[in-house]
Amino acid sequence: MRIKELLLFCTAFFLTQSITAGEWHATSAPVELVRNESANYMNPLWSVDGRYLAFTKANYRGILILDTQTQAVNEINDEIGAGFGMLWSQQKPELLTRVAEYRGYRRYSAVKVFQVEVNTEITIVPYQKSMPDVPRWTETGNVYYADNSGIKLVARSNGVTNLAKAKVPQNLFVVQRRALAVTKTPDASPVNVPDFAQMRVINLSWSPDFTKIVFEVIGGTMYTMDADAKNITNLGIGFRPKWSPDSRAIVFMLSEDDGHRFTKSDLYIINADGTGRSEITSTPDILEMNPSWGYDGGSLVYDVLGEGAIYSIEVQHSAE
Amino acid sequence: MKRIIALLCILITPQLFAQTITGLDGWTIYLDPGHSQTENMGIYNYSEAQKVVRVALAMRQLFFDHTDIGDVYLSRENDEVSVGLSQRSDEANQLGADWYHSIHSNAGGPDANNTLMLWGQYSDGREKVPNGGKAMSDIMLVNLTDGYRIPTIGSRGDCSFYGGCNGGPYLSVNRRTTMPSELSEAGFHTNPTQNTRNMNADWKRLEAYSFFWSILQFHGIEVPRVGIVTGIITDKETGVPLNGVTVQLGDSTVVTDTYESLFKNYSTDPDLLHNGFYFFENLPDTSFTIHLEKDGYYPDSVQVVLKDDFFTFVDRQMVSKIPPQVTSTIPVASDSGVSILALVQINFNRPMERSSVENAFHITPEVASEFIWQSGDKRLIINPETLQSLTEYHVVIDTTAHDLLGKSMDGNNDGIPGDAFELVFTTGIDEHPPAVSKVYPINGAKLVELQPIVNITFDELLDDSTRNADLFSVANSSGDIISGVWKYFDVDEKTTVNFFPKQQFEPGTVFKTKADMGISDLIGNATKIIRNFSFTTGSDYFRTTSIDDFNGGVTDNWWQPQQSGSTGGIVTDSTNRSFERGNVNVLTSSTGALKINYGWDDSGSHLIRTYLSKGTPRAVEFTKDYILQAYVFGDGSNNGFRFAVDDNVGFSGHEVSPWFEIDWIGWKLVSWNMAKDGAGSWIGDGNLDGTLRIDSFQLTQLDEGDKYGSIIIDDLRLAQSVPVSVAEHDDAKVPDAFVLEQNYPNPFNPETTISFTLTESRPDVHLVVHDILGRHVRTVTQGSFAPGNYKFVWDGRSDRGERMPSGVYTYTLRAKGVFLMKRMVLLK
Repeated sequence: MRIKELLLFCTAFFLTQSITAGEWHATSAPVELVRNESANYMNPLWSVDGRYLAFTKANYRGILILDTQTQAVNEINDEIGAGFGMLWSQQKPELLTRVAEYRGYRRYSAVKVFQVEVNTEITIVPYQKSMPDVPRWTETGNVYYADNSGIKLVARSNGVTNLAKAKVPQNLFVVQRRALAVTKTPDASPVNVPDFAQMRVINLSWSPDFTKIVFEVIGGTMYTMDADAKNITNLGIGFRPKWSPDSRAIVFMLSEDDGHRFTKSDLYIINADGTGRSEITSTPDILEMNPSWGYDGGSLVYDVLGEGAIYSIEVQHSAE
Repeated sequence: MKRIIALLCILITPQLFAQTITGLDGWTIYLDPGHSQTENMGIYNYSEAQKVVRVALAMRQLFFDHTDIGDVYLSRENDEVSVGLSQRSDEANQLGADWYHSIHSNAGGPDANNTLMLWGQYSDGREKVPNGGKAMSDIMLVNLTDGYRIPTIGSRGDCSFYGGCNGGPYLSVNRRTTMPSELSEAGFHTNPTQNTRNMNADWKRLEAYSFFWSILQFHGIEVPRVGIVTGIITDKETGVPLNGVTVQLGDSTVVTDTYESLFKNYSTDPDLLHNGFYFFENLPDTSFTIHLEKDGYYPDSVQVVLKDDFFTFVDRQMVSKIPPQVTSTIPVASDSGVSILALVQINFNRPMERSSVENAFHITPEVASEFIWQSGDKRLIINPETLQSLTEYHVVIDTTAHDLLGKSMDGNNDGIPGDAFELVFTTGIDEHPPAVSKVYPINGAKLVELQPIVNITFDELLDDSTRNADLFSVANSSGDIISGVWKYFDVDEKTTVNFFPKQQFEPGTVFKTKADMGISDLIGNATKIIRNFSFTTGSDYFRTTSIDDFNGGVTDNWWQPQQSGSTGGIVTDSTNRSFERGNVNVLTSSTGALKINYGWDDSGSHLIRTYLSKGTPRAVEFTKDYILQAYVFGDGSNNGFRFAVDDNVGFSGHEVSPWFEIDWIGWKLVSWNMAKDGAGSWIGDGNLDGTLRIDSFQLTQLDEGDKYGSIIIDDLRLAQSVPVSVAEHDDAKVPDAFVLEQNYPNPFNPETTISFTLTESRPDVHLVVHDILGRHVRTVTQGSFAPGNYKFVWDGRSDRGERMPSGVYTYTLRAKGVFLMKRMVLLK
């Protein structure tokens, strides 16, 4: 990262924002939840009910579940890429993700849902050659994903999955040809969101109440946008944004690197309207990464680079 | 119009290159040119980031032009966008690309240049899953190395290569991607020869071809016939690559890069940069004649038969038509008043055959001479025995002198060989004794540090017989001679006398430095007066904490100047850092120091950054309340030296001290009182905001600074200025009954043992850890203790269980009337 840019941005940001918005801050020391240095546990994600913590290993290979009631760790999958872009359902402890397998040196991707309570794996899209974005839940608990021909909507009802083609009320945002695109009509080609037509978009995610999305563009800036593709807010520089359970705030990491390895990373929180940017950790020698929120909105989970450990830390807003 | 030309080009492209290579349908690759913008600046102002993005663009074009590949994604496509590591791997993962190839070049000293492939590896030695990176690396390494024609380190697992990793893989692009991956290091952008080639657009196509063919081979796809001829054209005598050579091959012509066509973008010196590189591709026939032409050189031609399966390399050496000439001399022609001790220097335009020149050399009146050759035999130094005063000398190199190709001298520089060279100069007379040109402490100085290195510098070299401690002294006002060590250094035709006192001086006391009569120069002119310089010591001494005393050597953690992208404007062959054993700081009984040799080019911007990348010294953290110090052996060059520190708090980054003009010869303590002096100007915000650590030593050429030189740095340390009276009081209150031992291990991670001994019972003992700012970190133990020896382990955590960051910590043993403190270093 360019330190000068960060400095200028942050200076300007704090000058304009710190007066108008309360600050987030950590209220506890970090608590280590689980550790495996050789496997390199990382990228944690709480289930909505707070019972399960999903995380993955180096190279996002496989998914492991920590059951906080039993403290048991169960590896529910060991496939390639399973831990990248995984998402808990807002309705029940089901985990959606895209997995991959290599036939020769060609990659085939499938979409799977893991019913964690009953330890069941459901393949809802079989392995296919092209799937250039991760799948996402719809507001109603269905799943949509993109392939080279457009957006596909998989309706789920009573354990049965079907490809749906009827127009839906919800905008379906995807990253298509590396740009932010949207449609309401499954099986059709989405159209680029004009404001971002020339930008490459990654790490797009819906707010839990499905009223907004957050994403980052290549170059480092994060944005929120209403579900109707209006009300775009520039959140400034940051990476890997994740929504708070109440859809009001976003946690992200701000990392620096030397082109080969990360040299610094800390966690920040910002309100979805761009106010209240707050530094949660400030540890030059500890690289906190891949944060997400606890189910109650009062804690964060994250991993520390090089440790293979996942931590929890309590946070509070000064207005609370 | 452009489209029409492009269409015509497509139509006339030979049929074999119009064929589409099949077998990659649906396969996608994410190409990741490392770094961003102009990051990782290489030698001559061309960066790794600028090079590798163009390699990636060329690769993409090759795939799109010649194959049925599914898609080629690039992490960045220009020099403007800044893309961090997390975004590179996240985008590749999101796209679900089949492959990830990261493109880099390496950095090191100016002589280092090789290839390296790094594939993802876990700490147990296994290859990253999904596999494939190793197999691809093995293929790429061969093609890349053969294409670059430089040595190789090999195809290595990244965890092994870097000496271990936590779980692994080591490199972020191998660790965080979900597809097979590898990273290429193609040559060194800090190598002058390599980076001058890197500037050429076709050189980057050469690299792109090596990867392109590798990927086809990896997939078992037959590489189509290759029709590429490439090579380097050099001057036969000097080996220097030639600019502006017209290379004709059939109907095609290329001209090797010139200052006007390319190098002006990277240098203001028209003669500095050369690569001699040419590149022809898409050649349909199997044999050609290459014709070479360049003004001032004899034309050349060669018959070439093309290889089908790789580059056809044809390097040529061209012969200059210009005969050997003398370009300059010292003394200059008709010079007068030349010192009778002078060396005669003759610079030629080309390397000379030594014996022919030495045999052709005559000096009248005759005087025996020693010959010294430099600059690749382009410079002759003649060291005559002492010349006579007020005498006209004639130096002649007759026509039998010749260059390495046998061409005889052009002594009058008219372009026609066959005449002798003659130099006439007249010696003067030297009746002046050596004079003191600089002294430290200066006469009348106040508040001098309590153990100064006294310096007396003369304006010429002293005769060995007068390098005698009997002629120099330092004494107090009572005339008591201060004991110490005297050293004599010759730099730039001057002698400096340094005195290293064995003990601290009395505070607040007048001392006198004396240079006696009879101090003589090399021809016997001796001083006839006594010079005295008085100074008064201050009342404070320095309480110090070492950062790096260099006694254990200068590790690779201290980068060569060329490894830092911030370094620029240097003559790279004259610039390096090394370990110095011979000339070290006697004051601290040092056994090693860091030496920086430097040379400045003719560009307008000069900076050397000798960067500390990691290791124990880098873990020493401090604040601006300290004084940053180092002993520096100056070269009297009037160039600039400064300290640079990392400023970790916020995003202010790097800060520097003001420049110290190196106007001294010999050893001197250089101090940056950060709170008092403030920060200089570099890339930070000028504020020393909080926790600091050493970043680098930096040099620059100031207005009147010499072009070449060297300095030696010893005993980098932190200091606090402490009144002697306070220190005495501190020492006085430590009873013998208590001993606080140095922690072990130290530095440590994650825990260390602290021991102390009590010979009396105490009810109120506290063993406490503080950080460098004095903030309480951890109470290790407290309570009542009987006489005995006690050991306690500190686990590197605070009272709240937080793991503490790397840095310097203090631990104190406190009881009534007792306060003992030591330092320790937590290193992660």
